[in-house]
Amino acid sequence: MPLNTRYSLTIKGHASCSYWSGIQKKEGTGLGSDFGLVDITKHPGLTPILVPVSNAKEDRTPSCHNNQRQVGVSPLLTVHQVVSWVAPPRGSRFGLRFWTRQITKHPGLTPILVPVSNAKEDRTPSCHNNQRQVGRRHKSVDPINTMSRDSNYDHHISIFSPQGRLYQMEYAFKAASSASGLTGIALRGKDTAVVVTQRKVPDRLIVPTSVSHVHNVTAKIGVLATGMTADCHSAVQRMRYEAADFEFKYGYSIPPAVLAKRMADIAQVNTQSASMRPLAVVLMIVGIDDVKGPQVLKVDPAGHYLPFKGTASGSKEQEATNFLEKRVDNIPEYSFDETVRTAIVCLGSVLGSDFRGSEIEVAAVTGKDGKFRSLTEEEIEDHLNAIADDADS
Amino acid sequence: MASSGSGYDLSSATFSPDGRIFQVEYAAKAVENAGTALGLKCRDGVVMAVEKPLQNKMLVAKTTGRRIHTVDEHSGVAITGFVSDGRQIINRAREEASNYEETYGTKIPPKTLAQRLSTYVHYFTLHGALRPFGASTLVASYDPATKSHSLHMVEPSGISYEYYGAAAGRGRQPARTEMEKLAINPKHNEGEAELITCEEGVKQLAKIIYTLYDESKDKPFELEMSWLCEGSGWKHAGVPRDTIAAAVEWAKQQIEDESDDEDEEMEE
Repeated sequence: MPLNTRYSLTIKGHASCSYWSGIQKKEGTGLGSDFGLVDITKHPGLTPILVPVSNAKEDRTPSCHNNQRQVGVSPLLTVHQVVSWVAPPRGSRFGLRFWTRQITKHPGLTPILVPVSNAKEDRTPSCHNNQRQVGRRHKSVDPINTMSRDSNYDHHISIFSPQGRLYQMEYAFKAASSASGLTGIALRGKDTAVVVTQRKVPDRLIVPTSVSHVHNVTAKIGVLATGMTADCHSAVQRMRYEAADFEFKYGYSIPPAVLAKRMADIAQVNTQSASMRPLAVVLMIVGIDDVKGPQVLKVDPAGHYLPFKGTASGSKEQEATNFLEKRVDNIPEYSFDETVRTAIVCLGSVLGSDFRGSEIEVAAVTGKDGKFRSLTEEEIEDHLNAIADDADS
Repeated sequence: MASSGSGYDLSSATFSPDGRIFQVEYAAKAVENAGTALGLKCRDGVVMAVEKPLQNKMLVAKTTGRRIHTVDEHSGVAITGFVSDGRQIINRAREEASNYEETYGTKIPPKTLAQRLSTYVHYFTLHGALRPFGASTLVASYDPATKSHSLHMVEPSGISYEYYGAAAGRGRQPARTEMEKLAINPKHNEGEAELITCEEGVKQLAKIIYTLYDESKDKPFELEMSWLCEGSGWKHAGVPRDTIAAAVEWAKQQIEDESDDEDEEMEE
């Protein structure tokens, strides 16, 4: 039976939610045929909504549906809709039953099954209780791409969702941790602060030294910037400017914590502005403070900043942090060598592989008079060899 | 996952749920549809070439609609993609270069110029009221202080790296494969002395462009080339017309020979 012709639609027993448009007709059945459906229990938290959309020239008025449980009208669909809310089968999470729905015959109506999120945070109060509520199409996949009328506007700009979330900021975090695929680790010992990360050159035709995520900001402060590369470079430029400006105004070089606070404040502005997006960068600022000694601070897209004894960022952040937590009591007493080697070992263990000196970047600053600098390949190889010897013995 | 845009692709100021910025990716697509631009860092200089498709037979092809421009004596820039967007980047590059020289008294170092351009281009990927540039920029530059030359490429996302060989535009994938075969990377050859010279680079770039060109499918084009090398006194200049013509002859000959060789092999 072709689409856009008269038919009636019944769902018997377990119906489900997999979204499709149009109808699958089972052979050998006439009107009122069942659909080939997917078991909804495999999609926890999703409730199907049957949304017929009129393709007919004449619009049907809602009054023809008044003996159906019309539940809510999605603003997305242009003409009248009969939205039947179909509950998950008995025994599923929500304990409600499916009931069959017979949509009266409407020429040119194509039902579209649209998954709607039933996640707790997306429910409005008293929804689903009397089956008259429907369709916070909060996470629905809208087959009709009416973008400008999209009710998920809170996903698009930095405004609050009704549940109090800032989706753009959360997506920025996602971009920062998964965009580059790298993991970075920062650690501070007794008098040394170290950053370690992988060096992945995207293309053989690129000069390897130009691919670096570790940057100098001042003589004593350096930064490991992970996330979207262009955003990283922009953030580092801003850091250099801020550091130079501070020194010009106040006559002494900026302490790492002050710089971190400044970058965090700048990052926060973008989470409160509709026209600018947050930078998808996590900055790990390491430096030597004249009073407090070595410092490691992490600044994220939301505008948080915190000092750490040891921290990680990027795709394997969690595993690396777990590794460091096991050693947290000893870390503040580590010498230069121990700090560097612990950071390298941590990276090796979370990546699950050994590497050569050319595949990682290590940079450190040591002592009151130290300068932040990247270690050369030979120095890295020496540390790697020492680690291997320790492991053997 | 909203992998097809679906509302998250309307402005640069919007992340998609999986952390992508679609406007920037679409800007990169705009570049992918345009004429190929190539750059090569040779032993004694940098060579750039751009394929300029001729929209109209009545155009004065050789001198108008240029895609390679001089930014300062010691740097040049080649653009591909939306040429009008590219013109903005070039103007900005010229301002940066002249501003730097006024402030600091020396020519702008290559890395600084590339960084300034990439910051500028990146800025347009941050604001909702602006759209990203639909142009990729190759920057060939010489640093008189360190006596070193370099080639950088700035993409619409604002990412910029230094390259031994860079390609942008329609034919960039096959061009990259061809360039990897050339002796431009000191690590893969026996050090600096074995790398190709600019003269050779000009010929090789012409060959790559003509290899990628398909007479039946592509519009006729004009080949613009420039170099910045010892031979030109470390000043960015257009490659002389007869050198280009000779290189094109050589390239066409090479391509014919190679296809003859292939035919012979097939017959065997």
